[in-house]
Amino acid sequence: MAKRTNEEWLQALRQSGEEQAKALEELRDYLLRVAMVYLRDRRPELTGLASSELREMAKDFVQEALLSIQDNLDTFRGDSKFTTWTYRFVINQAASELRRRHYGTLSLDQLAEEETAALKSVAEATAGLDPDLAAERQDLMVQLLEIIQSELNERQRLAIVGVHFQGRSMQEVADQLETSTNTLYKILHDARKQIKGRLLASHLGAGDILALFETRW
Amino acid sequence: MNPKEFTNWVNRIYATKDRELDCDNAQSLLPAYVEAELNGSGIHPLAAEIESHLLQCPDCTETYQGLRYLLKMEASGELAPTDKEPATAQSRPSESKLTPVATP
Repeated sequence: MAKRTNEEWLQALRQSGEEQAKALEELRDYLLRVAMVYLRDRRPELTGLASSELREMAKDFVQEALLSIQDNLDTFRGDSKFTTWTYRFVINQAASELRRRHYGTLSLDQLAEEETAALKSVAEATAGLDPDLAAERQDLMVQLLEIIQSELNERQRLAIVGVHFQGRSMQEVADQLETSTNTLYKILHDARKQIKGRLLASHLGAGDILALFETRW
Repeated sequence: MNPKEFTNWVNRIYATKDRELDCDNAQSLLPAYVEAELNGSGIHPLAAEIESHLLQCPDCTETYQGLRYLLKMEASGELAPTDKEPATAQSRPSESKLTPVATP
């Protein structure tokens, strides 16, 4: 593939006709190799997939990534190499699609029960603990649960439980909440600020809480 | 949630900043951030904000780690054109040795 500067890439891709087609073909071929390496080396769930299947998967991801790249050319900041910027689209397309294939069963109704269960399981991990320490942990969990249930609205609670407590991807929870991952990040940010604010208002610093857990799991 | 996961969560709560980059902004900054990290050109001016976001966002962290890996592979010539396809994980030799050609 001929070496192109950022400006040359942008100019060619913004054209129509032969120049654009040539640039797209070069970019497609290059990103196909990029995608193959990414899927081979960064996606252990694909281990064992035949080369031909990996290639077909890579081709699909690159095709979608190229559409996004063309739609978003005006957002390229020019502060990195153009090719580095295009890698992001390939990674995100692949990661997004592979996450969707691994969605577990996520029921919004079940999430409501999970906030209690998650904190309860921490409180109950008291085997072998000093009884006073165990009691302090339980009190803390009750306090946290009260903060989450009184300070956060329903969407914030579902976001915290889904992403933080259950470890689901941002994308899976965003899809369930029928919003974007960007908006979900803002929902989580607001929720975290509220939890942090209430904890500090209760004179509970990070050190106070972590001290209850630092000695034994 | 086990106690270790809980303490990681507590750290994330207390690491919350009043203003944080959202995913769209963080994503737009990641290519330059990773290039600066890897080529030693200096610290990105928004490094602290990007790192705060990555601490809180597993999806953007995945993008970040993917970019780092691919840029390292690019620097070592592993993304250059070759007459062989990249091998699968099973058939890959113990050290990947694709023919180095000038990178784009």
